Amino acid sequence: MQKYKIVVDPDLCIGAASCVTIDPNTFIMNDENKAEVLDHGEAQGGPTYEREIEMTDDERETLIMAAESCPTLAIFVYDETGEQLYPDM
Amino acid sequence: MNILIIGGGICGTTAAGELRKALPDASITIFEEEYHRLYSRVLLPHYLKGKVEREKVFLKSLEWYSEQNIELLTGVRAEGIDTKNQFVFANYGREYPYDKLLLATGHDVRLASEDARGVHYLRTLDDADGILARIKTLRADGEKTHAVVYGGGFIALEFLNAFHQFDLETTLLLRSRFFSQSLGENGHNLLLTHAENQGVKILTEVEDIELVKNGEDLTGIRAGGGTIPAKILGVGLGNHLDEAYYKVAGIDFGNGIIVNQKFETSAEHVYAAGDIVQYPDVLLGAHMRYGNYMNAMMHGRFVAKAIAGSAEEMSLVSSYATNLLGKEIVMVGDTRRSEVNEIEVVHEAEGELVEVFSRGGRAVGGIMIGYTKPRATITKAIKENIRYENPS
Repeated sequence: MQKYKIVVDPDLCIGAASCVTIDPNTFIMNDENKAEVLDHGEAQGGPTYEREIEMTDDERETLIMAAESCPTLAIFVYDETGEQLYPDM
Repeated sequence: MNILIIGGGICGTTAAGELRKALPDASITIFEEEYHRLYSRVLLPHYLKGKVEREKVFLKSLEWYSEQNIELLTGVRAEGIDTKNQFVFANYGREYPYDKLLLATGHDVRLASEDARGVHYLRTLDDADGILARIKTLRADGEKTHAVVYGGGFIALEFLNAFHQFDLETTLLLRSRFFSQSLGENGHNLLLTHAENQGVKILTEVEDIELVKNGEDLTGIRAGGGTIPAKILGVGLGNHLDEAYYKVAGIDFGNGIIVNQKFETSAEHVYAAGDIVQYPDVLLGAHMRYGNYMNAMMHGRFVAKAIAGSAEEMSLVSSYATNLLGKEIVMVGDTRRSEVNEIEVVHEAEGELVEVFSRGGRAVGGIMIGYTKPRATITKAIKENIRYENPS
């Protein structure tokens, strides 16, 4: 298990919800039609646009796929060292 | 295997990446009509409004294509397809043979009947650059600029949002309703009132427009019996597909290219995916043609699997999300009013409306305006092929 930091920029998010379709354990749409971040389906500590989550390699792959599916590049993924994994450019 | 992909947008490029994973030794070539690598069309409104820099709209670096050993040919158009002898004619005369061909061109925009300097569309990055350049020129003139938007769909709304951001006095010309295939009177009127409250002047039932020009420059629009001063016109009249182009190649065409669940067209070894196809949607029990990013990306992923020989089939509740001057609009599943036999208003309040579309007693679609809370439950009902039960 590795720890990842996931951040959604609500200003960029347009509510396409592709992230929720691909990774419903990590993303959920809120009442403002913006994606919030979950920890394995749970919103411990309340709704938030940013979380640090421990994930398996398979879960990480799904997370990156969800981030890649965002048409406005509103999802940012960082590893434990703070290196940005996505977007990678 | 020699794979040729026509179209380097999100569908074609996603397919190329997935094909590379599945078929490491295949030759993969993409024809892209524009002179750009993959970028997000959905980010163009953000770019117009200055929320993202131009460089940030690109989704792939040139290095990605070389690392993946995918040949990207930009500025190249497929003039014709010979499905019998399996090759494609490029616009510069060269013939490209293929073992498998993927059509992922996306659609063209429907054009207004005339053109002038100041008439703009919003499909490509070059279109967005052109709009920004025009607004910059008009601002440099120092005059108060009037703008007109023609149409009532997704692109027309993006023009309204952008012109509002630039503080342009804007008139909207509607041929019929907003989202005429999807919205009824109440949804249309809700958006109409909202837009008017935000300062947009609106003319409805506009049959056609005529451009008023000074030389090549747009100075006004004649519509509805009057003339509206305008130095910029945003056209959002929907999309267009060149049916003859595909029919000549022997590819069956209905409302789009007809494909089966493996994205195979009627021509052997020719696949099609994305905005241009009528796909048999198993969840909705109907052939659907969607024009959104998520659908195009998922098509790209699954058509690659099909080409590589996988039997895995796509199951997706497609959705669109946009906003009109801050009013959220979400459509999920099948929202064609003419294709359902029940439309239930499940929520209505000041500036808010939610409708659920059903066929044979089962939810197939939903529209949410100004209130998107039921999105997950409506999507779930569509996915589970059941009637939508209003939690309230």
